[in-house]
Amino acid sequence: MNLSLVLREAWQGVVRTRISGVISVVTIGASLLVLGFLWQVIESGNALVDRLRARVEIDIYLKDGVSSQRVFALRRTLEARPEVAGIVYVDQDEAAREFQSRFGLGAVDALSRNPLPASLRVRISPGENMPRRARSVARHVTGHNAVEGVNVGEVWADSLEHFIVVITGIGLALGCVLCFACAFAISHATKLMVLAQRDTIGIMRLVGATNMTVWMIFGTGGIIQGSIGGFLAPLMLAYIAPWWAVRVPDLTVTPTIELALCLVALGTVLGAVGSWSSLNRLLREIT
Amino acid sequence: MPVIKLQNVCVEQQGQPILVDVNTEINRGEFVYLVGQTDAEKRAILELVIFAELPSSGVVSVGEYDSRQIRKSDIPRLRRQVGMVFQDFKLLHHRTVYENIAFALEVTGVSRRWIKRKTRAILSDVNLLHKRNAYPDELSGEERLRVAIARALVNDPLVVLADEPTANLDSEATERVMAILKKMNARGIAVIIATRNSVQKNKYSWRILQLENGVIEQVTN
Repeated sequence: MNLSLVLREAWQGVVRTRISGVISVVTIGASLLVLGFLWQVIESGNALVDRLRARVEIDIYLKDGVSSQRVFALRRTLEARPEVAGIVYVDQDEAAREFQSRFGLGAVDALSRNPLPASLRVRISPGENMPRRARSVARHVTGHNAVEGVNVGEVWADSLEHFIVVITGIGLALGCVLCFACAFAISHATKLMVLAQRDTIGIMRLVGATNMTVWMIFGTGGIIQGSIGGFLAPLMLAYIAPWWAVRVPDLTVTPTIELALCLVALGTVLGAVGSWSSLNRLLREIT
Repeated sequence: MPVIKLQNVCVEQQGQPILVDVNTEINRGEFVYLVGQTDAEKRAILELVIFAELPSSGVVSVGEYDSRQIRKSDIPRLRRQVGMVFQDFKLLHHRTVYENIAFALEVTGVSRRWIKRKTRAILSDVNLLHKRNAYPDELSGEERLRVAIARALVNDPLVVLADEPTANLDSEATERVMAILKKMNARGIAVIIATRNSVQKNKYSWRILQLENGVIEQVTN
């Protein structure tokens, strides 16, 4: 097999398809860009969920004037639970300072006395179903004679996780559709490439080219288109990443070398599949 | 030793008999005219020889291959032993003369050095070395024919099949082209020229296979 012949003829075949070749490459590039983008958003979303999970806390507000022994007893009860990773006691003064730092100086000073209760801030141990375990701890202490009320805090991480699962599902479905579109575009471009070179194929066969040689040339044409599309995708991703980072800083898109290689590999595979599906049919018709 | 052998060959197309019980042999170094009034008969013979078609019955042998045993994967190797020259030349118009000829070697996977040497040698044989960078559209009809002959010869075939090669040439150009074919024939390559016209006696030794109603009548010079 003459590799330089295969590459040269494949490249010339791609060039001769002109507009359809360009459309095919752009379709692949755009499709892989969307896939790469979704992939990155899902990864960032999962990382965000993990960060939020690590911060799931419960605030247990204590009744006014509750004795330190009862608070200690409550604390020991909580520490015995496997869901609890740590407990911090926040007294009324600390609560006021936090309130002031969040809502501005003087917000509490304007009142004749500090109305904020002391609390126990319970950090939930990391792992699966943190929001559920947080709610379980909250239920356990609700009604305790030292407890005024319970705030389960940032359980919306659960909702975000659910959202990421939905996005992943949509991404997978969209990915399949886009992969199909890529393969179809390459299949169509390969068909045009073969039809445009019908005479060349006829002559190749007459002078003794094997089917493998013909297959390699035109299959490589599809692979070239796929890999160019795959190469364009991370470049475009790198171009839009800063724009996206400004608008959605928590779900960053970072075009890494690994992602670029994956997209080029995916484009190449789709190129091979698309051209194979087209060649399988067409070359049988050209004797 | 026959390079082509047809034994009791019948060919039918769409229920119509094209060749009927054809028996003939063409030996190494022979120069043969295949004369027939209809294109279908001549085309059937040419297609049988390159195994583009298989006979309805009978056996076709070309070199070491025969129609009973040949595998699909053998056909490319067989075709490297059979050079074809078409009436419309079938040159690739976006390639130069050199590239058209070299292409026939490239697809067979031989080395680049061999391609260069062989292509230049065959261009020299057909007196077209000076036109190696020209495109087919820049050549005369005779020159295009010589390119087609060069391409047919570049793989060192056992036999060259030429379909009406000189149909559109004047007598002087025909003479020059025939001289090239005869030179190759003298090197041991069998040459078969398919033509519709009756063959005039000329200075070359030849054999005529007259096709009529699907049957070959052999006429020797």
